Amino acid sequence: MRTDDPTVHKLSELWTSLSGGKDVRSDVSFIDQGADSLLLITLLSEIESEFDAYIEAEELLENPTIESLARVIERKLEPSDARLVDRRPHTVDPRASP
Amino acid sequence: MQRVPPRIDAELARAAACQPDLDYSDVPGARRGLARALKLARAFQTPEIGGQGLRVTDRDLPTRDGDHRLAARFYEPHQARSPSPALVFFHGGAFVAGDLETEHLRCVTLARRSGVIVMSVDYRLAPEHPFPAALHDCYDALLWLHANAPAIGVDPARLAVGGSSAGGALAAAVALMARDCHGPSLTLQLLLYPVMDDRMETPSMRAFDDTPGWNAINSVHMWRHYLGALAAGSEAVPAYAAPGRATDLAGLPPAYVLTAEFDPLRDEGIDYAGRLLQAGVPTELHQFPGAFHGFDVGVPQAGLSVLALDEQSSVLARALGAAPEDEGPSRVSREVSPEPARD
Repeated sequence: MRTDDPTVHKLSELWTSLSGGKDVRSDVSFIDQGADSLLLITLLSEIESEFDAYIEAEELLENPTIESLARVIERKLEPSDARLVDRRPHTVDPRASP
Repeated sequence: MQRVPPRIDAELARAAACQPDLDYSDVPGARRGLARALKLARAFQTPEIGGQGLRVTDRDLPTRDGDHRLAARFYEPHQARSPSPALVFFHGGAFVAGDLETEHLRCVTLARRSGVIVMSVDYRLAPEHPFPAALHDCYDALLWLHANAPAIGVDPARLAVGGSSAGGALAAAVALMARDCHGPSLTLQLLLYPVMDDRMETPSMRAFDDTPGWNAINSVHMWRHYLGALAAGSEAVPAYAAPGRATDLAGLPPAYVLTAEFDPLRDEGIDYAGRLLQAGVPTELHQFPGAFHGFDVGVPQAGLSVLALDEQSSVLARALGAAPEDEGPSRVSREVSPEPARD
């Protein structure tokens, strides 16, 4: 588990406390770790209050692991224009390939 | 913030704690939350809850002013014999949310187990379309079914209306309107934890402001959205909007009223059932102890829910004289062997 990733870390904590927390895996589907619809509805409400991110049912069902759901949450938390911003340092070496 | 009542039925407790805590002051948010919870529930349902034994079709119905689309979904059991009795059903969602998907599970269950054709109606929603838009759609749907009954294999003399929650208010109002306007005669009104009264003065409405599934605070928002320019609780609110206000209940169709103990709507449903009975209307009232609003379709595998859905199916079949499912109406009756006599 990538404990250095803060979103993955927080999401793991949420899932651990909801699922009763034995052998939590960040790369295995919530459903294969025993989730049913009630648990997933609760998980989404918790994500909403914890991250202030609204996850649709389809997004969860298509990204049903801690790892993949963390990416969905991160994308939602980016400011809407962030993807257009060039994040490379301004002092790039002009000789580097584009 | 919702809280699970301590005396909730044991099999319903976990689902009660996991009910989405929707805020109907925010209509788009409530619609979104309701649809999301339904999609997640649907993703886990076994194929048994699909449409086996039924033909399920959608079609558009004409409306009185012809300026909008009115969709309906038909559930035709294979065992239905033409002409078949039919139930016109209205989903819940506080008059502001829900669509043909909301009560798909119940409509499938009722049609399959009772043998009755079910027509579910996608009426217009408030606040975009306040009262009487939804009622007009629901009544128009009934008139259409009555007028076109022979063409679609339905017996126009064996029609019922039914609805859950806000759909229960619409079903009761359609029954009032059919009586008052000499419309189709109805064999049954099936009112499932129905919304009945905008005055919100009953003991259950005063007590339950944090119950799972529905609460009194959302009732305030619901009436504000649905009544539009009419002030909730004022004498301007007609019985067609809030059927609990009707004073003359004589001559209404026989009723089945289902209520849940931990539901703010409990007492307005019980009150309506009692007054129907006093007005000489054959009425069956089932108050489910330990249950919350929407428990039967929310937790269909729980014992109380199986009981409730079986009862709705058999009430329909009995009232309308349908041909119930061959293997018997109930999963319980198939799986549980009768207790041997002890004497």
